[in-house]
Amino acid sequence: MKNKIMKLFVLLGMVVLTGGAVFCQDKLVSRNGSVSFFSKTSIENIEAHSQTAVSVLDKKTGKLEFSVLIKSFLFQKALMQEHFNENYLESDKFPKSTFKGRIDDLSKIDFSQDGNYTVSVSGLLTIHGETRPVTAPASFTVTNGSAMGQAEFNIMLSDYNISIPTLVKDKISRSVKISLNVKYDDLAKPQMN
Amino acid sequence: MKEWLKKYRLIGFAALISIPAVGIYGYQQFNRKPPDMHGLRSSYVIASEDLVSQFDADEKEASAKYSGKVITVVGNVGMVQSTDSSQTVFLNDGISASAVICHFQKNATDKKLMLLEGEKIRIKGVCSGYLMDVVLVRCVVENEK
Repeated sequence: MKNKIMKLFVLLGMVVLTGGAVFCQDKLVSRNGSVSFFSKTSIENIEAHSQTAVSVLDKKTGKLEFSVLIKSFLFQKALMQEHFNENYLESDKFPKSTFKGRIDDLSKIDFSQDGNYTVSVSGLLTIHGETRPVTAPASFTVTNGSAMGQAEFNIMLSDYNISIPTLVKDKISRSVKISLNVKYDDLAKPQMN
Repeated sequence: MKEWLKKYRLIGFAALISIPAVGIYGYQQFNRKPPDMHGLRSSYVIASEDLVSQFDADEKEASAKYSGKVITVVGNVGMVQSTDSSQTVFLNDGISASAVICHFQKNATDKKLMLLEGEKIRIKGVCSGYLMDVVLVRCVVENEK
């Protein structure tokens, strides 16, 4: 599956370079999507951000795929980042987190019409080698053929086999909020600003 | 009796010094911020196309070598994207489908990076791995030596 996704990305990239935009009119892509997670407890709030997520959205089928590198998440405190990578997410063993799914009610979005659309997204989320189905509301804002997607949902760390040591169990919430903010560009028109 | 007192006085004194020292060290470690990238030495200096080709050839091996490491990448600016809090610079050779994506946080750049397409640049950052492209975070521009 990974090889198929990689080949899709390479194919799409090659089509851009050769100017074959006809084949890419249905695809929107982002290579610097924003992903954040937030853990809130009475003792401490912990948050981390990555702005290097990759996502491809098929406007025709509603198919939506997302991938983010665990080591790209940045924390305010260095020790927290080290523990996150070495102990909790084991990023050397599981370097990426992925989502493969689709927009459930794609017909609600008119990509040719500027506007804000609220939809439901569902699919399979893989974190720390564990895969679980998720469904979440999302909003898409369409502007001049490009789209900005936003979503927020909660996950239980135990669902993804992420165990919290007893010593810090009061500092990290069992449920973590994940926020996504992705600006998609039409694959045929790379943006420069 | 006196020897007993001497022994426990010594232990008490050691505890009086070491417990606060350990506490201070623990506090500093807990609150330690990531180091300033400008002061860090790169483990590798590599051309962007070489880095991309190594990941294309064997992602697992390249990840083991570069992931999590501070590296300096030399390449040509392909594209720059900006948001309110960050800038992303794409280094590519114009031939391969993949690039080296260099992510700059707002506090690393006092002003917006003014880069021209095709401009040659040296960027130091921490390699996060490979998706469609090789990804570097916490990037800073490195001056020619």
